[in-house]
Amino acid sequence: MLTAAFDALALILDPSRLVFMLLGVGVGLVVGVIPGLGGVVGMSLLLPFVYGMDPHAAIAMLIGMAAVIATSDTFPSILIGVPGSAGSQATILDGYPMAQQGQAGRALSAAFSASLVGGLIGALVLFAILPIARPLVLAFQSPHLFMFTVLGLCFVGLLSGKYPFRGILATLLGMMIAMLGSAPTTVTFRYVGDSLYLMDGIPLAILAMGLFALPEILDLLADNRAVSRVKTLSSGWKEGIKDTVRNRWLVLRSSALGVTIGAIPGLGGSVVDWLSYGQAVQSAKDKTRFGQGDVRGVIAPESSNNAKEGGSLIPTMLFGIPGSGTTAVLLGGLILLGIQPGPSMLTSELSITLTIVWTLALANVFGALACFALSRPISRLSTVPASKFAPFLLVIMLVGAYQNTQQWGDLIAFGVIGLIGWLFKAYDWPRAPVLIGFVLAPSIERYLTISSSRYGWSWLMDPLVILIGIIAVAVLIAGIRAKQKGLGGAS
Amino acid sequence: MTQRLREELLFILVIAAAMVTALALSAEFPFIARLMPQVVAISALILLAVELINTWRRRSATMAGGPVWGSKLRRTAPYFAWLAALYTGIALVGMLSAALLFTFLFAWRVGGMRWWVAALGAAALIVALMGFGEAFNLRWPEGFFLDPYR
Amino acid sequence: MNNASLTRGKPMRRAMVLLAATGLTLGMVAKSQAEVTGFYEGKTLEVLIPWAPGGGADQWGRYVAATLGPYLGENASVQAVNRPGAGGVQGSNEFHLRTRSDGRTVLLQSAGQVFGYMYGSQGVRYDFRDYEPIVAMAQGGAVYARSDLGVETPQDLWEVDELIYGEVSPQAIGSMALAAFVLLDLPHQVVFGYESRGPARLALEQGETNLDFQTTTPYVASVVPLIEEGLAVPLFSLGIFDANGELVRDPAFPELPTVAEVYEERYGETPSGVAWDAYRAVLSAGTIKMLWAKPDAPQASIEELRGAFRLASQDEEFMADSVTANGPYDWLVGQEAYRAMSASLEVSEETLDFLRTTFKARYGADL
Repeated sequence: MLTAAFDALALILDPSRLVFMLLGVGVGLVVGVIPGLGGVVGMSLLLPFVYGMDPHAAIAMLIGMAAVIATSDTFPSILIGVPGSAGSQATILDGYPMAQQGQAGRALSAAFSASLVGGLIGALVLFAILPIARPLVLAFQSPHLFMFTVLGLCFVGLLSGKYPFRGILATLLGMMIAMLGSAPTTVTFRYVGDSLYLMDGIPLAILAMGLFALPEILDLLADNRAVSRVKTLSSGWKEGIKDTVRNRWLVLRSSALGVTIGAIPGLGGSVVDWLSYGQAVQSAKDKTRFGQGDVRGVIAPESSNNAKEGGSLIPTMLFGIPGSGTTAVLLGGLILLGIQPGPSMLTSELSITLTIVWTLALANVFGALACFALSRPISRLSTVPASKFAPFLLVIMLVGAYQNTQQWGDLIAFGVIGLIGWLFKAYDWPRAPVLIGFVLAPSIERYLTISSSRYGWSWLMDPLVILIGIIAVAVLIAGIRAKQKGLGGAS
Repeated sequence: MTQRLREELLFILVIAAAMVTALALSAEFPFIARLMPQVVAISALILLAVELINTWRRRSATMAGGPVWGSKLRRTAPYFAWLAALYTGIALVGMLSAALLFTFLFAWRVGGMRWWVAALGAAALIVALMGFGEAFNLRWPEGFFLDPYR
Repeated sequence: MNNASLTRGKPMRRAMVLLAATGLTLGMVAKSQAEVTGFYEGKTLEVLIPWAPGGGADQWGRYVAATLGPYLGENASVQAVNRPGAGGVQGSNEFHLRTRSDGRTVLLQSAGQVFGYMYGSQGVRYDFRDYEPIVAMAQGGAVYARSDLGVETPQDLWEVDELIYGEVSPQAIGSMALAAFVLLDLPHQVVFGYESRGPARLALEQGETNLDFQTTTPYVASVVPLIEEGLAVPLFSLGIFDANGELVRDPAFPELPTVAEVYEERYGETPSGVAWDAYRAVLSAGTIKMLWAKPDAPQASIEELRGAFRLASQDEEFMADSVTANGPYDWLVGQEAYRAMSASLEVSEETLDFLRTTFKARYGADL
């Protein structure tokens, strides 16, 4: 397999292919930076060119695009508190406060170096576990997936800010918002009235932007100030990299978590950054700074969301099951190229698989370098008064929001959720748990329905189910105890 | 009872009302589709009751932030109005024209840029958007009355 | 599979061959006659896909967009446009209400829209019967089981105690298999809630279910290896509709009996009656992907499109590529397409009632 790996490297370093990878990386960086645009838009942009291309070049382009989104989407998350795409929601919690304290440069640098390492680890792990990935993926049945989502919910306790009850309530509210639209197991449409728009539910990107972006901009405008409360901006380049090196075990742990969660089909990439953040808080000795600009709160989600890309390609390639919207389109691209994902990816199509692994690694390096180069000029944005950049940002966000379904409903949903988010912020209700509840609710409902209709009650006695259950309870208790000791008001 | 406390209690009641509505509407769904919303709504209502009491108990402690209905709203209201104007503009003349006008006027009147700088910025944004639209095959909301970019 | 890796080895040569073939066919076009109007020369045809990118319908539409251009004339281009929402209803409604009848847009129809249309779902404003059929492709699928179930032929299924089949929802594409089980009167249990057919297949591999259905492309890629390893047993194909609307063996699985044959072997007569009509309706709704033009689009554009597909399906290179991407299925043009679809487009109220009451009784599901 090693010889094959180096053959694939030679293939991909061929200049005619490298150009396409760089093109993909460029597109990925752009769609990552713009809030509301994400992997699906980037993929659909590149897809029409794919037919008839050299498969290695085409795959380098598609994977190159997907790999760097999780790197560049950090810019808006840290600088203006707006998630650039679904993968960097948790980065806001500590990244944005850092920007407010004039440490945008340090936060960005830490984020990019963590992203780089995370991405490389993701590629490495993907390579290492390919031969044994199949039995691994097959080990998790519906009851286990249900327990994983429950475990995800238990991390909410750590993100609830000052009032734990409000954290749980916000989670429930997020779950309720997720109920809008078609029910996962029947043909019932819930709470949609006559609206065709609501039949598909609220898009995650709109919920995230509405909850975090609009309230932030409105408050910045109302207070007439810039993001950074301090005038002088410390560059913090080296500091950020040092932060990553200092927290190398955290980077390693978060990356491993990212690959694993990404590889489990059905959990979806959008929970990875939250779980990783929760894990960072959980394992830290001094938790008081989380939520107020602790660099560990940036490093953990950023290293895991790049690592996740490697993991999520496992079910996509070996089983033909897309783990996210991006990989769903990627699957379409592979089929246009005449490649059928399946067990053959490890035998007759091995060179394609290895191309994917190499592209992941190389694209992460290119993407991180580009972001480093851009970070200094872009981080100045945090000292510009909001009233100067707000109109441009608002328009870009509305355009981004509109691309989710290209209906007026997108704009209305963005506005209404923005208002709710503003009220939440004004009355000290945590907003992050709303997103977590929203992301997890469909999986909870789906896997609970399947588990109970397939196994009755007997699945509760499964040893793996019990084990995950015990971990979940431990996390919950630790969360409550951390609160009593005075965990900083996250979000 | 301070103004802030009254508002916080009201906010909780509004959320509770939303949950009650959700609960009531779910009655008509088939069992398998209504189970989840009902469990969520009922547990939310119980916790809301607890939170109502908690918030009441905290009344003596220092409440973070002042009342929202009042000075905070007064400071924010103009920007809500700008946003509403932008939405109305989009509905009337389409995304691009409305965005051009909005960014220019906002950057000039509120942002305090010189008029030609604001105009330049607005034009640059629109050009960038159109470029993106071309490259990424984006679509814009169309205006009701006129939309030169349709 | 082999086919795919062969062509991949020499992309340049393949491109050259494609170019040459295109040139040839274009030459032929120039010589041959009235059929070609040159309507699309220098123009762009939009294929409106009412689904999000990714997924079977989108892939088929993008395949058309990527390959049809040369057959529409010089400088003609074809573009896939995604207008997702409300299970295909949003985009189809837009086609019905807002798209101009200038012949520049065709609507892609696939299973989701037809199920919604057939069962009268919320918000449906379109009626396919009003439109002009351009081209259709029926892509079948096959039912298989875990080998540790101990079945070897379809008839053994009735000997098994607990058949467990994983499904997305009662209106999803796998309801074709459900309608087949209903027709065969096969006792089985259904677990609803899987995200799509892929996870349902995974559930079978894990042992969570033991009976499954897959459409041709994933079947070839992921189920055939399981069969070769001895983990799964192929049972029967759903069959597909030919140009006359008759159910025939699936060219992708020539060795597998169809549902009708299994029925005949079990009950000693050819299937008929309302359960058979119901199966045919669900099958044509679920297997056929189709392009429709607006009825008042210029006649020249409709002729041109049909002509282009006729031309393309005579081109060996085009068909070889199509077999790789879509399975060994024919492109049914014009009225052939309509006839293949007729079982679901002209479904009777009685048949629908049968489907509704049966699904309610068996699965507690409201269609």
